[in-house]
Order: sequence, then structure tokens, then C-alpha cells
Amino acid sequence: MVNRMKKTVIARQSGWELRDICVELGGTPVLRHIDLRLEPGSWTSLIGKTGAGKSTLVRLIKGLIPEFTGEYRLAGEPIARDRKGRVRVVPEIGFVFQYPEHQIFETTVEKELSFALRMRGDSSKEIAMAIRAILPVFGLREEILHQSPLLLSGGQKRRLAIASVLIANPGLLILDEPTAALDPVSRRELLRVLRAWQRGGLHGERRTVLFISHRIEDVAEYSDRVALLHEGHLLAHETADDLFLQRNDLLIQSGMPLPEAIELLRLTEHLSGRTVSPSSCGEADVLDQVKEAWNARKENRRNGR
Amino acid sequence: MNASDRMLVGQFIERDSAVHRLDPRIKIIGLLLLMIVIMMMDSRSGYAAATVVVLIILLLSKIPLGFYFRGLLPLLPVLILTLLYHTTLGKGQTLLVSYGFLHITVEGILEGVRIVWRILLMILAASALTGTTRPLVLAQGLETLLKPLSKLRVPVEQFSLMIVIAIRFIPTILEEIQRIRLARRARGFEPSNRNPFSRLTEFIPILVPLLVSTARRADNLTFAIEARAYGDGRGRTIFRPLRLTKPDLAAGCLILLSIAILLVIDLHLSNTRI
Repeated sequence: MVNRMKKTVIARQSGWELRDICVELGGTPVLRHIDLRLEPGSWTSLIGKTGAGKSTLVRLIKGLIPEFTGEYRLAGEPIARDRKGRVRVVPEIGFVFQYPEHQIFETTVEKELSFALRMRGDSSKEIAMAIRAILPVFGLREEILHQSPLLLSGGQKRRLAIASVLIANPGLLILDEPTAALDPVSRRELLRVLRAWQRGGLHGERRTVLFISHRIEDVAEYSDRVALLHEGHLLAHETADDLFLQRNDLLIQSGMPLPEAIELLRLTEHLSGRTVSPSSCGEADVLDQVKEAWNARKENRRNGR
Repeated sequence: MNASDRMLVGQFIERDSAVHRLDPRIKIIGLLLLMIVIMMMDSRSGYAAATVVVLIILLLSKIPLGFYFRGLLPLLPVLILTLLYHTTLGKGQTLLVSYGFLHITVEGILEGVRIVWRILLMILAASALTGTTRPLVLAQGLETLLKPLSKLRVPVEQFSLMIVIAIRFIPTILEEIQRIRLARRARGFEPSNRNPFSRLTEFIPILVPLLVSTARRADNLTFAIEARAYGDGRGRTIFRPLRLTKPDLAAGCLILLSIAILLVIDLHLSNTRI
């Protein structure tokens, strides 16, 4: 128990490091020579088209892919392998799968929330405290604790599923499209909660988050760093500003959309023939031209051109 | 190895063989007759002949024999239990060992071997049917064979739809099991690999969420079927109707002939009765 706790702390300080990772699934290469280091306390977003290898990469980090070549260092040490050279699940990493509400398996909300803590061997007092602390964060009421999770609404189920991963206070939290199929308000709310948690809102210490999303606006808004996967290659691992402002050619190359704000900026630059700073955006002639071009572009898109 | 690799019944293996091309109705009737004959078998030569017939069918299917025998592995405990039951509790004159209520007799051992052999032959023959026939074609064959029953107000179409849906959802349900197991492991549950008993108990907490999600899926499916105005399925036409060709009929005759030969061998050489 003590040993495991210590390991968690170390992992938080020194991060997660992949060197020259290659993965083949069913004979086809899915990840090719990935080098990636997650900075402790940062929010890294992983983007790329469907089939680029995002899910495989995060599963590998969680230890769900037993066989791969390359080096995976956890807390500075190579990840533990069993006698057959297979990697085990890494318990210190929290993992929220796609459609988290489908991962609910216990009979009451309380049991669902406490599962990870029980598996870890926490005392019932610790568990009760942790549950009381996490419920308000996710806007869940105490009355539902003894209900079946099946009776909750769709949004509540998803919040419950994510809360039951967060409650174990993982050093690294992996989120595989946690906001898919949510309405805009719930999406914002969920992201707000996650960011507050990542910045140390609940446990008083900054957490590391690895976030997969198809919504490029969310990625631009929340990420410290962005990793871009394309056909199994890691094309970029930059700060969000660098990738979106300086290297957006990489996004275009891998078929990803640009955030609308960046597109607007590019359009402005293109029309005015010079690099635009926020102050020059206010110049009347530029502003009118941009408005006109932007509307024309939107019209084009609406008509499917 | 995942669960689907081990599955025997309902697993179709794509090959280009005469058995694969044979009309499903002929195959179903043939299997039924063969099973009845095997059940009636009484003599040693009858068993030998039936074994030869089943082996020939397996070889004709061009599916590696190893596949069939690997499929028997999950059934091994059942077969061994059957054998033990008959050898230790059997009745007979020639007593070998007797301890308490256990009586091991020569007759008992022979009886056990006979029954296990019978079960083996029938399973192998049945897996030759499912291995060479697409599940949907199989269901179609069953439906056409049962068609006359609809005169007696038996809902044959609904029955066949039920079978088709059941077959279709086997992989989906396996996937569901995999997902719940993964979710539990991701939150710190360590499955124990050694002890078969604890491996079994690991499945019990999975059952409840599995039932729930399956019921939910069934609900959605009902709506989808209703939404497309499927009705009760009566009077539906089939995209690829089954047609009996000359080779089919010839094969049918061949099957009948070999079953007749089996019967003759069994009855006429009954002096070597086991």
C-alpha cells in the first residue's frame, strides 16, 4: 500500500515518457516511432483524424496494450513487465473511455463511486469523505447515492462515470472524447469541472491531463500543449499557441480543421497583406473587408461548396 | 486468445467445398437423420462405420480437423464427467473394483465409452453443419423447413427472426463483456489468472450490467423493427431464395444411401453387440 502511494507521488513529479514506441495491431502498424513526454501538471490534448492512432496511444499509456516495441518510462523507470514481457495495467492512471456512461457496472451510485477506492484498499471512512467531497463538484446530490445508476439521466450518468475515475485522485487522467454527444451547455460545464480539477481545485495539487477531442475549439481553449497524430506518426507536440499560430500548416497537412478564430486571423492577414496584430484589427478598412470575406466564406460553406 | 476463438457452435469458416455449397435444408435433414441413427447405434461395427462417415464429412468440408477438435476442448469437462458417472456408478456383472458406493465394472466402462463416443460423433457432425453454413443461411433453411407448421399457426417467421437476431448479437454481447471487464480493470480490479474458481466468480458482477445493457439493446431493436414496419414477418419474400439443384439432390441421395448402409451394418453385425 505505502509502496504504491510512493510510486504515485514519484510519477506525478517526473511524468510519463515514451521513446520510439511502435505498435502493430493485427499486422498493421498503428503507431510508428512515437516520442512523447507528458509534462507533469499540464493539460495535453491529443488530436488527429479518426484512425490516426489516438485511442491506441492512450491505451498504451494506461498499460492496456500488452505488447509493443520501444521504451515506456514511468517515473523515470521502465514500466514493469511480467515474465512474458507483457505490460500490466497502470493503476495510478485514471482512464475515462469513450461514452463513459457505458462503463457503469455497479448496482448503486455509491458502490460505483467507491469501486476504485475499495480496490485500492481505502478505509470506509476515507471512502465516505472522498464521496462527500466529489459529489458537489460534479453537481450530483447525496440523495442519489443509494439509487441505481440506471435511474439517472444521461448527463448525470456521464458525470457519475467520470467522477468515479477522478475520485481515486489519479496523477494522470486520460480522457478519450469525454464530451462526445453532449449538448453545448453540458460540454462547457464538464470541461470547466475538469479544468478546475486539473488546476488543483479538489485535491490541492496540479494534475496532468491527456485529452482526446475532435472539437478543435475546445482543444485551443483548454490545452497547454497539443500533440498531433497523423497515420500513426506524431507530427507535432507543441504548445497550443505555437501549433495554432505558427505551425498550422501541420494541421492542414493532416486534414484537421483550424479553430475558427485562427481561420479569421489568417483571413485577415491574407486580406490586409501583412501580419495582423490585435490592435490593427480595429482599422476600419481591414475590418470591413474581413467581415465581408468571412460572411462570403460562411455562405459558401452553408451551400456546401 | 479471446472467447470467440474457442467457440464451437455457430462459428462459420469460409472455405470453398462441396459441403459449403450444399443446400442448407439437405444439410439439416441429413444431420438430423445421422443423429437419429447414431442414437440408435448398438454394435461395435456400427460405431466404427458412423465414425468413418462423420470423418468423411469433416474431411470433405476442407476445414482443418484441428479446428473441430479444438472446439471440443471446452466440452471436455462435461465429457469426462459423463465418463466418470458411467464408469463408477454403472451396473454390470464383471466387477473390477468396489469401494463404498463406487462399483467399477467392465460393462460400466464400456457403457461410458459408448455414450461419450456417441456425444462426440454428434457434436462433430453438428459442428460440420455450423462450420460450413452461414448462420443466416442456416436460419433461412430452418425457416423453409418449418414453413408447413405455420398452417398450424406456429409463428415460424418470428421464430426464425429470433434465431437470426440471436446469432447476430453474439459478437456484440462478447464485446460488451470485454468492455465491462476493461472498465473494472482500469479502475484497479486485478483479475486472478490462476484459480479457475475465482475466474468464474469474476463473471458474476459482470452479469448484471450485461443483462441491463442487453435489455436496453433489445428495446432499441424493437423500436427499430417497429419503425421499419416489419410487422410479424408473415409473407416476407427472400432476397436469395433457396433452390434445390441437381447436385443438391444427388448429395441428398448420397446421404440417404450412407445412412441406410450405416443401419444395415449396425443391424446385420449385431452379433458383435457391445
